[in-house]
Amino acid sequence: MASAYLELIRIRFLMMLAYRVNYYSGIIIYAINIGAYYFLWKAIYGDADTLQGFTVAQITTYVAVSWMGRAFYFNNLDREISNDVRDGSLAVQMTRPYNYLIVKMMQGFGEGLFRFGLFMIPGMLVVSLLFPITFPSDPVRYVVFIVMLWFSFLINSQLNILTGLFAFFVENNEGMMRMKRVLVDLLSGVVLPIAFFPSWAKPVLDWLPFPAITYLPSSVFTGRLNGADVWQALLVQVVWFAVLIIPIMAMWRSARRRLFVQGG
Amino acid sequence: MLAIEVNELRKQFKVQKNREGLKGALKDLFKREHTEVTAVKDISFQIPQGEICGYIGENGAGKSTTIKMLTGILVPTSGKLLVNGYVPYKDRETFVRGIGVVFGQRSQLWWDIGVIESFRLLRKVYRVSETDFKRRLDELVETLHLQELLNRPVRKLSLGQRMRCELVAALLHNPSIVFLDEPTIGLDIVVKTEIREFLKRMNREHGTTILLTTHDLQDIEALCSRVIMLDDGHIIYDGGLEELKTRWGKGREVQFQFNDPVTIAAVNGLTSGLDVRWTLENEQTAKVWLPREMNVSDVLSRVVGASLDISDIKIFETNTDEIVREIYQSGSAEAPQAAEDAIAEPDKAEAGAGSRG
Repeated sequence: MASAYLELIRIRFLMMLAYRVNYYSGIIIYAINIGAYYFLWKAIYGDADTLQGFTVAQITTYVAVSWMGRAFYFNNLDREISNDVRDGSLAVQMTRPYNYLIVKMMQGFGEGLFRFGLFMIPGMLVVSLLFPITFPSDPVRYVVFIVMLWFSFLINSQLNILTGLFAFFVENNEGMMRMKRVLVDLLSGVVLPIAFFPSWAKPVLDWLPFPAITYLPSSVFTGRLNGADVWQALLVQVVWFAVLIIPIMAMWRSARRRLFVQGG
Repeated sequence: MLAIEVNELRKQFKVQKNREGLKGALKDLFKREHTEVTAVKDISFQIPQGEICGYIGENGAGKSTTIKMLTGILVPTSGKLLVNGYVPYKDRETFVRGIGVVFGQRSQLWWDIGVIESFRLLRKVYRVSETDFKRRLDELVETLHLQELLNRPVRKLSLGQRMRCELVAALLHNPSIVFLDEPTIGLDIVVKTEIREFLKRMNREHGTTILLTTHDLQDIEALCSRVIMLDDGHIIYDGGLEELKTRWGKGREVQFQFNDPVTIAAVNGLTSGLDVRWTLENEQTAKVWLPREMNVSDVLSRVVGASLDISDIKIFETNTDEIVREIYQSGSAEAPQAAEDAIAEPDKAEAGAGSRG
């Protein structure tokens, strides 16, 4: 079975290659985003050396690596699943001897791999030429960061799957998908690092999965988290991954009972 | 051994009711009303291995719902279901390895990649060994003439080409039961014939059990020894196609075109003593209805043997389309109605008679 899932990753990778032009423009859009945030932060800092413990160099690196991390973990699984449910192509998927949700996850990973290799790495190089970014010197940090990025992908995909599965229960979950996207971007720390959130919000966020998607890995990369804190951050991600499996299983089970295929 | 065993199978859906108007919409916002719809109402049937069975019925009769329960997509509300020795929805992943499914209206190939890539992926999904895959693919590609299509992306295939590829995709793992949901929908007659031939051959050579739904009764006539007819969630007929035709066939009509004007009395005289009914179409054309058990030749010999000049003779038979249409309309396959009002409209019946030669 593993080879089938690997094949799915490969096929999605091939499909992304077939539409690679989309991604050339994507690199530019991300570079503009990073540039905009860089100048915004520079203006906010003014003469200050540090804000909330971030130096200007750290915030620049944070912004760049967060956006580039987003390039890897971002996918449209929510939309794909909800389309499958609504147009009935889920029926075909159910006649195959595999687990639909794992298949979706693998497809998302194929897409992620493509973006990682052809988007994130070259994008990071381009961005590092344009803006003052400090790369960590310790190779272990890179390894940990990659592992954490993998969990970012898993957690983000899980949230996408949950949102997508809502299509079983409501007639149109477009609004839900939009809300989820904004929530993830805002609360994961892509737009604003969690350190800048008001003090009442931080304890709330500690109980939500969003910071595990961007804030934790980016904090490791920029060197804001060190020593035991790094492993603690990784542990938080693993726990969220494990916890999120439960609602997905529950939803999938009840969805299977409710499933009726649109269009006869 | 039985390939499919269905007992008292039932499926109910909850359908959201949308109330009318602004007030209704506001009410819906807070309290949804649902109606229960029963798509399949306690049906039972058995299909032995190696049979080709047609599953027909009007749109919305519950055909697709049944197929979806048989293939493990839908969970039945109640009733027993055993396909290939499995309860489909329970052991779905093991169960689907032994079946093939084609939905005429949905593609199971990956839209953006070459056909062969889809097949290779399916090989891994169904864990078919490389040698088996090669042999099977060669065989299928040859019988369905797909050689040039293999490297094309699915989105660039015509419907007929795609449907042939869908068949291959559903059969690569050599399933013992194949479910086809409207496999010939939208196809031209050449492709339809090709697909029918292919299915027949597969059934003969591999003993594959086939259950197909269709609106094209020629599919049924070409393939099926048995028909299950569904109406409003109930089975209204289950048996041979020939039996259905004899039970429902309404006799035949013969139309004579004479060179000289004739009268109803004159033609009646020709067949005195026979249980037939003449009608006059116009001055020179007369039509005679004869019951099914009577030989056409009996009537022909009498009329032709008479001293009238005949320029043309046409024989009309109620074809399956007519029969089925009537059953749909009456909603029951029980006793046929009075023979007279069932006689087919000439132009439609002609096509039916013609195709039978």
